Amino acid sequence: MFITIEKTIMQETIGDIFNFLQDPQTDAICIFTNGMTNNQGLAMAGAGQAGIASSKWTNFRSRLGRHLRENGNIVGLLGEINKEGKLINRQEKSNNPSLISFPTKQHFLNPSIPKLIEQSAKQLVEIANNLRLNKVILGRAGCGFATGRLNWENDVKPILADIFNDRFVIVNME
Amino acid sequence: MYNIVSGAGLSCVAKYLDKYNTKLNEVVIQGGFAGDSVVPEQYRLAKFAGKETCPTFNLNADIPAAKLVIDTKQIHTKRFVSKNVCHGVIYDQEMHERIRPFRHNNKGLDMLVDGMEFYLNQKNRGKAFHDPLAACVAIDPTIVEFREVEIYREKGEWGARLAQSTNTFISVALDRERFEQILIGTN
Repeated sequence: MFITIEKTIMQETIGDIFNFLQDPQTDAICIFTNGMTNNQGLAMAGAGQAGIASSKWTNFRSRLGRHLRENGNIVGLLGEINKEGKLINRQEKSNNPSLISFPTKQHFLNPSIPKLIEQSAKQLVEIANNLRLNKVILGRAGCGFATGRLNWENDVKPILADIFNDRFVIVNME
Repeated sequence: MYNIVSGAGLSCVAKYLDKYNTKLNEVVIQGGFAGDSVVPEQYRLAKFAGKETCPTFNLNADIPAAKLVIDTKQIHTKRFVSKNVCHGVIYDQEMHERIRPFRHNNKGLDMLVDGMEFYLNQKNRGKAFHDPLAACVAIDPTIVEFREVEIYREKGEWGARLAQSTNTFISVALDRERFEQILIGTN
């Protein structure tokens, strides 16, 4: 008897990743980041999603900065977003969505790096497995118009499609 | 999708949205006001102590346009570089001395230094530097600390209330050193 195991494919949808924080099914959202910190130890996170995250959560840059100093430019679990919309430490048995940093580039001025996106995607799968995350939201990695400058269909989608399954939802703004 | 910086009334932004029925990624607006319920105590300017609303020139310049821009879903992220922060940024002789050595970094800065030299010779108390601050925020929003809010109008004045998931942010504090770095063009 043969058993066929079919790998499920990552999902794609239209929207804004931050709106998924209100979706009770969301286990985590990912913010695309670079590897730079300033002389105060704060992450350089002014553009794109990271810029919005910096404005939403005043401790985002310090948490990301600490993660970068301690672990380097790798995927990091920065905490969770509580019911009041604050970024706090991840709690055991919490239903709040986690916030995960996802490196796509080293220097904030440079374009995103496909190899780094691939590495980050693999690290994200590992974290999702360890934490049993069933719905992880992220944008089109490295494809920001003025930031990442990669092409989704040609440069990035083929990489992620090989790594992600249907637990991962790629959200693109119209 | 594009970004816009506005240093005046919002008529042009409103017309743009109406005429092209398009979406904008981000609009940085010089204007608005955040009062005591939004601004942490350590960041409050004495002149605004106890206030929740205030008239602000650019939003009052075209009120229907301001309301349209505030309410529209066509703009993903709105950042207000507001009076409660702008009024703490004065380009005075001291700041001029810090900026002047970098004047040859680019032509714009060279013109700015020339212009401010002329201005400070006439008015030595300095110049409120609202619009350049908004422009620098458009380059790097982290020079300002923001709070997520909803903007409202009451009795002819503007205010802000803390809110979630509005993607509308108002300034509460400035990283002065980083602002000047952006202004002179060093990353």
